[in-house]
Amino acid sequence: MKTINFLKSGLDGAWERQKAISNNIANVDTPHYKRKDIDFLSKLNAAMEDKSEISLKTSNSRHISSEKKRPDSFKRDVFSASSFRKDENNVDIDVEMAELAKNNIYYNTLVNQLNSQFNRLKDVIDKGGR
Amino acid sequence: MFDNFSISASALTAQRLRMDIIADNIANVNTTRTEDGSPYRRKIPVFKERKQASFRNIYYRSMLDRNENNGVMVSEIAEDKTPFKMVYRPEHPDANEDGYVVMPNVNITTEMVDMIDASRAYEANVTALNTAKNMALKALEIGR
Repeated sequence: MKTINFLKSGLDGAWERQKAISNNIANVDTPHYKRKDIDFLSKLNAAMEDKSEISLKTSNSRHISSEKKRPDSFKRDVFSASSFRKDENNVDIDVEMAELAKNNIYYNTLVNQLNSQFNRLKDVIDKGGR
Repeated sequence: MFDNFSISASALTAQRLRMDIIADNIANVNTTRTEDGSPYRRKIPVFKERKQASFRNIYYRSMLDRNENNGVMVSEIAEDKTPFKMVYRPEHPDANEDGYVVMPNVNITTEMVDMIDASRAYEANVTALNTAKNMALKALEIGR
């Protein structure tokens, strides 16, 4: 179930990230706009290595585990340091389109992983009793 | 859930409005007399980031630190303040006593460049919308 939870967090993160990238593309011609992005991968990695703030320490198997708590606050980081053009906008459309494609493939991969995870469970349920 | 689509849709609307304004500028490149008697002044759309809280965001605000549902909007259609061009054309009915006609401050080259920019930005947003759509359709495959 832990794998499924992680994949779920990944899907949520990728969806939120898609929103941030869409917003950057939408504001490509907005003066003074600064690009925003979500760094959920580092959070997810930290969660998988069990070192981050989102997991609870357990010393007994009956302790409440942190599995239900997922990295939910996908805060958008604003990259305000640079300017790409004279109007102080720093959206590079090529970078955004590449990130968009990457995010899409990442999302599809996660869905495939989730499906194969479900299929594994299904196999165990179907064939375990035989 | 559908924030993704409304962000891209707002950008499509904004770019289309920009295209309309460019078409208006090009159409009026030779208009020496408008309703108030002065020559046509070039119009420019002013883009602004849209900060709009949806019902969902207000509902969830107490529970989660959610990002605002945003996108882009045209905050105003401003007028280009650059001076008009003076063209020597004594036969023109709008010419002054020296034979000069005050022409609109529309530069056709600038408009064409802006038009290509608007068109490409529109395409980029269509791509973003399609990607979001593909992701949503892919999500429907979970558990199949």
